[in-house]
Amino acid sequence: MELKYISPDQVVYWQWGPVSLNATIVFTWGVMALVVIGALLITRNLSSEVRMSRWQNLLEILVDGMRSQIRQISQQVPERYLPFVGSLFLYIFVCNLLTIVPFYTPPTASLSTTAALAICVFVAVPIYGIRDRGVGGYFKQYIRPTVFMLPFNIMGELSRTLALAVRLFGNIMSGMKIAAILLAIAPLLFPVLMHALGLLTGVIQAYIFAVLAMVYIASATQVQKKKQGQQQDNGEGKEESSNG
Amino acid sequence: MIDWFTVAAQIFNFLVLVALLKYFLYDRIISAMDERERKIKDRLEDADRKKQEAGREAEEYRQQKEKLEEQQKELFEKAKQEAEEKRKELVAEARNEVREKRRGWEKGLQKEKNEFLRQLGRMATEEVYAAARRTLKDLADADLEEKSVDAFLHVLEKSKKEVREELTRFASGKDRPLVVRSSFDITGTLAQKITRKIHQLFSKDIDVDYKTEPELLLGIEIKGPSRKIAWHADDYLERLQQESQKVFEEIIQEESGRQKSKKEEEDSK
Repeated sequence: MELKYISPDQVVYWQWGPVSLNATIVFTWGVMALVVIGALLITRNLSSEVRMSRWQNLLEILVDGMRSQIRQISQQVPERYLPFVGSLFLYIFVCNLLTIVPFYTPPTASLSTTAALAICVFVAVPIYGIRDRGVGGYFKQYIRPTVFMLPFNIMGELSRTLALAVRLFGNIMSGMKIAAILLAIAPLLFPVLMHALGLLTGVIQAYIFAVLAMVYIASATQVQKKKQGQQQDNGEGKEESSNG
Repeated sequence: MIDWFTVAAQIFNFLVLVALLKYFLYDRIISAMDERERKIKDRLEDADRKKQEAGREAEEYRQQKEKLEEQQKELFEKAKQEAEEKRKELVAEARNEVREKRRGWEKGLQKEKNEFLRQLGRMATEEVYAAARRTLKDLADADLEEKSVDAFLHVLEKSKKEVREELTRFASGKDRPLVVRSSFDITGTLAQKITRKIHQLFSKDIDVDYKTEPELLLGIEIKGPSRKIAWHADDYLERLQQESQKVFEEIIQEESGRQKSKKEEEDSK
């Protein structure tokens, strides 16, 4: 079994002290270049008319689909979450989709990548939460319903981040490994099936990762909104009763 | 398993990716979509406005059309009415003309009829007159002559005094006898009878001469310069002629009156 099937981090092309240029980083750059250049090429001459290019149509469907998903989950204006959540989905989706390309190793098969993404989500949640509700408002949710829930809330926060990282890593890595093992045992036909299955898994994982990230962020912002709504309702009710 | 340098690099990479995609993908695509949405909305609004405008114009045209149709109808009605009036006028004119012509014709006819009647009358009276004349002529005999003389004597007796005086003045003297004209010859006793009567009524100095004039038919007369005393069967005949003429005139008048009333009746119809 090749090294890259164990972890792409292990495939080091260049090293200088702790700085190492491994396959994960290189392929990430590749994926980034692909996505960005693709977007750049398509969006270079966008049409705001009714007629447009197929590629623009594809991107519009993609972006609009992501927006509607975000809107459904968060019940908020999707534009502020779209760059982060959409990029998560796009990045993971392209990483996983390219597994059918020979000699390619998906960066998502590296725990370092998935951990990095999970950390991003872990950080993004409080950022969005604090921006929406203020520092106090955000951190108060850790001591709800009582102070005793604080450690559990923190553990929950950490564990879901860990789960986020490991789920994606496990799925993609296992897919890679199964494909590699099957290639060794039964080189014909079976690896193709497993690759197809791997593609499906990859797409689903990209979707799951993005949706979960959105759910976490939404939960950090929505609670406050709901509470504000309730307060407003109560206030109006009081006014009405005092008037009565 | 986790290479922390790689993790840091990946975090950095991802953030760069987010930034790049935000700038190159999401913003552009969303703005393009918004722009399109706005354009479509504009277009729809424009279409809506144009539709309303078109609707308004269509309504306007419809109203105009209705107005025109109404005008057309009015004009048609007017023309119809005028034509009807004209027709009536022409018919009335024609009727008048016909009436005039008929009246003229009837007048002519009436005139002809009257003329005919008049002529008939004249002829009839003439015939009657002639017949009577002939009859009297045929009947003339001594007896009739005597009777005629008696009648003349009667007339003489009844004559007015001033007429008798005028005649007396006229016949005084031997050169101028009083001439008694008659249709038949008066001689003998008849002449004596008349002469005696004249002498008795006029004057004893008057000479009486007798003259026969057959054109007097049956009659005797004494003529002065301006007046005369006469008895004529002609008088009766003339009266007869006048009477019959009068009767015919009456018939003619009656006829024309009937024609007139008939005409009036027709006119009223």
